[in-house]
Formats: sequence, structure tokens, C-alpha cells
Amino acid sequence: MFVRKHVTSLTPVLLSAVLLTASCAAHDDEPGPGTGSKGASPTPHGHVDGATEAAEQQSRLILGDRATGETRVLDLVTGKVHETARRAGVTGLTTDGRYGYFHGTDGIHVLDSGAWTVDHGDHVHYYRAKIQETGELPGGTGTSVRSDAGVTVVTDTRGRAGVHPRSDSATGTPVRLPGSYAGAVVPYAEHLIALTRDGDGPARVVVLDRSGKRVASPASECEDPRGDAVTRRGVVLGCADGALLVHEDDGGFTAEKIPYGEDVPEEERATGFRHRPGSTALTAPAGKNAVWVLDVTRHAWTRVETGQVIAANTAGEGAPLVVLEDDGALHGYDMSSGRETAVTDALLKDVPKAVTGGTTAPVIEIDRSRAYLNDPSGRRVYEIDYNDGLRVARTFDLDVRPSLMVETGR
Amino acid sequence: MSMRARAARVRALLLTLVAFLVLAATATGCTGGGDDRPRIVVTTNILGDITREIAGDEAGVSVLMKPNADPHSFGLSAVQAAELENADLVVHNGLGLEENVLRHVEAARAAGVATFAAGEAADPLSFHTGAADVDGEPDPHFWTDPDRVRKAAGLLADRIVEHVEGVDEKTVRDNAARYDGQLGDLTAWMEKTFAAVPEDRRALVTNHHVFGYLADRFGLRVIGAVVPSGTTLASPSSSDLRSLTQAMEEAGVRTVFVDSSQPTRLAEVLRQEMGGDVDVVALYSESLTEKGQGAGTYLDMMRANTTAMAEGLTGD
Repeated sequence: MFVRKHVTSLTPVLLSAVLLTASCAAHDDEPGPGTGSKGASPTPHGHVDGATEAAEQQSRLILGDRATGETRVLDLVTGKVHETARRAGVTGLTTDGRYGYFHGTDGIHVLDSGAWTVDHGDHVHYYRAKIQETGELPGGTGTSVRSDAGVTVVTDTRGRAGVHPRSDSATGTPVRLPGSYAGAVVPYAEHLIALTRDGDGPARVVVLDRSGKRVASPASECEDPRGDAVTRRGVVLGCADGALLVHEDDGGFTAEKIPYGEDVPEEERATGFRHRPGSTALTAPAGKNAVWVLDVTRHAWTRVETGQVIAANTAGEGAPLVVLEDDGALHGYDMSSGRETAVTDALLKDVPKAVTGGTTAPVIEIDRSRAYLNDPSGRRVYEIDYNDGLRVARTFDLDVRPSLMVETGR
Repeated sequence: MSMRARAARVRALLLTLVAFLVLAATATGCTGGGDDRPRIVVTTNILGDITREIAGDEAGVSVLMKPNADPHSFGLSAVQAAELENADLVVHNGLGLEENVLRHVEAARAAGVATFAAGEAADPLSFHTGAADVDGEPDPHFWTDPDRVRKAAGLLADRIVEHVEGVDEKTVRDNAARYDGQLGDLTAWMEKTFAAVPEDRRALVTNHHVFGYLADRFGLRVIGAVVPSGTTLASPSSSDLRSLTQAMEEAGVRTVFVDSSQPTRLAEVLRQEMGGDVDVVALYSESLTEKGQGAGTYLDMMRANTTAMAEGLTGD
């Protein structure tokens, strides 16, 4: 596998050779042979083949119908719906902000939504490209897929993980990580964050480099790990007694527990986080009638009492906590006071009976300006202006039941 | 480990092969149209235009950044990197503008190539945008002040004469004097044009971060604003537009100078929000266009922007 990896890395050199040769025909000048090719990319940075840079974020929704396997991409800038390949047997849908991962029982179909953001720290670039089927990743039900700009990591239910180059995640041979891990292996800060467990003790954080070599083991304990999220402040891992925040600073890694500060029964602990990518406010249902808000910056949990929760999310500081409740309406809550500040009409045609832990219940996707709610039975998606009293800004009617939904372009 | 070692050997072998092929190809492919003029390599296309005006036919001038590109993010091909290391003079903006090219410029300098950082030579200002992360940092966008470009162009002529062997000094000096006259005319015309804008309307509401120098030179105020995202324009609320409407109220203007993928729609929603007429005007900021596309040269770009600003701020 090392051989393959090195051969792949020759591609830029080979391309450089082609370019050097081609330049002789195109220009009068004669570059010194064999100089300067190291360290230079074969194509200009920022340029992406077939992609167009845009002035603003290019938001899209990837949608899937679990019953029929039909999939769609809804372009939120133009309002147009694109039909994409049918994926029979699809049970779940996740995203890394650009690619949609349709999880099936015996594999993961990868769809490039053609919308993404590249963060250069002090400024960002927005790209728009053709929507296309990318290929397949290995994995069955329960497999997790986590990406950053460079790699896509696939972790199966037995905790074995493979690292794929993100650009061709579905074709390249993965680097297989040694051992097995508790929960998803998460790319972060040019490294991989994972949890390992010896026997029955609590899991501990390990930091691996991209080839799987262990480079750090910050002191940490995480009982019954469930749920993970990446924020600007670090990776958040859900544990029985709170969250573990793994943070990189100047090449060093630390792990810090953010405890609930009270006894939280198992059925009320956070087990899956939702947030606006880039935000440091995470949400998770806290049992049936409340929502946890974890402020990663302030290292603080807040429990907001709500009606019966089906889905929740927030854009972060200054924005309301948006909760879909069993009345089929969205409710807005002030996160510091816990007070309800807004409520919509009933939006869902059919309301699921209870939180089933996931994939069939509608979800709330949220970005810097709008939230999106899927209504499978109503065959539609709502666009919500959460800064304007949860106003329904647009309603998109569809020809499928969008039981699965993720937002891309970020 | 043995796999790794073997891989390294395979890689070394392949590299040798590639190098050989390149040599063979360059040897056969490049003997024809030789240009033996000295070479100046310039990073940004704005500086490229200025350098060509001064060097004229005395040196071959290569520009690394394509038209309509972003100076912060463009990168180099392998060929360009090689060109840079073989140049007689490298002209770059500096002050952190060309993030992805800096290491190549540094490498060329380390290899003994003469370099000229135009922005650093032009008495740079610091950002004072109110954004804490950049305030106090030097602002690299010096070209929006034609006086500073004049200063940099004069120094550039000196550098060309000093470092680029084989150029005719008199021709370069004559070119520089002629261009200096054109820049002087540009400044005088811009002064006159902005002076015709009523003083209380000399305010740029913009999402561009490049006009600090122009504002400083010609007595304009820059009021930064965030342009609402494309998804909100279909059904915007007051809060979506607040950054822009507040900036317009503060500035007392009805024209905004912003990049938007839907300028017509943006103007329409601003009109609905504020009542009365609102114009959304695009400006050229950090890159020249192709020739004949509005900002093919530095002088064209400055004239186009000045006209757009003056008309936008004067009209009712």
C-alpha cells in the first residue's frame, strides 16, 4: 500500500514534465530543465477543473427517499431540482459539506453535490460545479464517514477504519488504520482523532497521523462514547458524563472534559450532535422534552426545556434554538433564558410518533442565514428565516418523499 | 519498512526517468524560437501591466496571475516556478498579498534572483477597517492610490536598469517618464472627478476591502457591509439586508459598490426595503480583466472605477 501511495504522489511530477514540454511549444522562453518543479502544484492553486468560483456561498440540499431510493439535489440559489441516480435500499444520508454519502446495507454511494467552500483562514472561496455520481465506498449499516479537506475516513461498526484521499475517496486504495476504535475516527488539524479502549475501561483519546501512526495520547477518559462533531475549537466527543473536547494548538493536542455538572440519566445524555458547520454551539436532544446546547467556547452545557423533541439545531450565538416538536411545528427558544420566542404553524403533514434516534425523522439543517426542514409526507422542504420569527421564506415542492436530507456548499 | 525502502527506490528510478524525458523533450522542442531577451517575472497582473509599460520591448515580461483571478489565492504551475527562479528580476506586490506565491519568491531570492516588492516600496498604510483581526496589519492594496503606483513605478524603473542586464537604460527611462506622465494625468483627473461629488456623499458602501488607499488619497469614506447570501434574496427579511441598509443610512447614499452574483435582484430587494431608487454597482478590485473587457490595463481599471464611483455617488 505504501508503494501505491508513493506512485500516486508521482502524478504531479509527471504532469510537470508534460507541462514543461508543452511550454516549449507555447512560449519562446526556455525554462531551465529540471529546476523548480518541486513544491509547485501542476495546476494553479484555487483553480478546480470544471468548477466555477462564486461570489457567495452555493447552498444545495441533497435529498433521498428511503422507500423508493430516489434521490435529488435542490439548488437553493436557483431553486432548481436536479434528478440524480436511484439508490435502492438507502437507509441513511450524511455529508461532509460537499459530498453526500448514501448509506446502504452493503455499501455507501458517493454523490458530489457540486457545491463547496474552501476556507483560507482570513477569506473563503465558494465553488459551484456539476453534480455527479462519484462512486462507492465500502461499508454497511452503521458505518460512519468523516472528512476534512484532505481525507475521508470510513469507520465500520467493528471500529476498523480506512483513510481515503478525499478527492477520489471512492477509487483510491485506503490506508487501513491499525487496530480498532470506539466510534468514528475523525480527521482534524492534519491528524486523526480516535478513541481506543482496553478491556472494559473507559475509552481514551489517541491522535494518529494520516498514515495511522500514533503521535499523541492526551490524558482523557470517555465512558460509553456516542456522537461526535468538529468545531473551530476542536473535536467534540459525547461521553456518559459530558463531552470531551480534543483541541490542537501549535502542534500539541489536549483533551478536556466538559462535564454535565449534574447526574444525567442515560436516556437524557447527548448521543448525537447537530450544529451549523463552523459554529461552536452544538445541540442534542436531552431525552424526550428538552434539548442540550453545548457552548464549546464557554465550555458550558445548557438544558432547554421544550415540547416533545423530534429534531433540533441552532446557528449559534445570537440565533434561536430551533426545535421541531411533536405538534409538527418549529419552535424557537432563546438559548440563554430558555424562553420560547417563536412558533410556526404546523408544517409537517405527518408527524412521526417519537424520536427514533435518527434516520426516519425529519431533520433541521442550518446555515448562516436560513434553516431547512424536510417534510417527507408532504413531499416538500421548508426554508426558514430563523432571524425573522421562524418565517417560512420559501417552500420547495418535490416529486419525491424527502425522508433524508443534508445541506452542502460549506 | 522494507516496503517503504522499495517504494523509495522505485520513486527515485521514476524521477530519473522523468527528468531524462524532460531533458530530451526540452532539448528537441525548444531549440526553435529562442527569445534571448532578459526576463522579468511579475506576480500580479496589475503589476504586470505597469512593468510592461516601463520595460517596453527591452525585456520579456511574464505575468504569473491570470486575468480575472484572485491575487490572494492564485498559485504557480511547475513551469512558472521554474521561470521565477531563472528570472533576471522578480516583481511582486508583497505585504502578504500573494499568499501562495511568496515561498517561490523567497526561493528565487535565496537563489540570487533580484526581487522588488512594489507594495512595500510604496509607503504602505495599515488597515483600519474595524475588523480586529486585520487592523494594524499593512494593507497590501496600494494600487488604488495612483500616486503610490507612481512612486513604485519610478523605483521599478531603477531596479530594471540596475538588475536586468542588456536593457537600454535610455529606453527604459523614457518609458518610465512617459508612464509617469500618464499616472500624473490619471491622478489629476481623479481629483477633479471626485471633487465634483458633493462632499457629504463621498462614501463607498462596499464589500471590497481594497479601497482604503483610494479613500485616503481622495477623501472618501469606506463603509464596509456584508452582502446577503444568494439563498436569502428570493425571500429576504429586513435582518438579511440590515448590514447593507444600515451602511447606506450611515453614509447617506443610495448606491452600493458590491460584488453579488445577483446584482439586479439585490437592487430590487433594497429598493423594496428602503423605498426609492438603489443602485448596485460592481467595481474592479484586485485583478485586471482580459484586454477590452473593461479593465485590461491599470489605467483602464482606475478610470472605470472612478467613473463608476462618481456617477454612482452623484446620481439621484
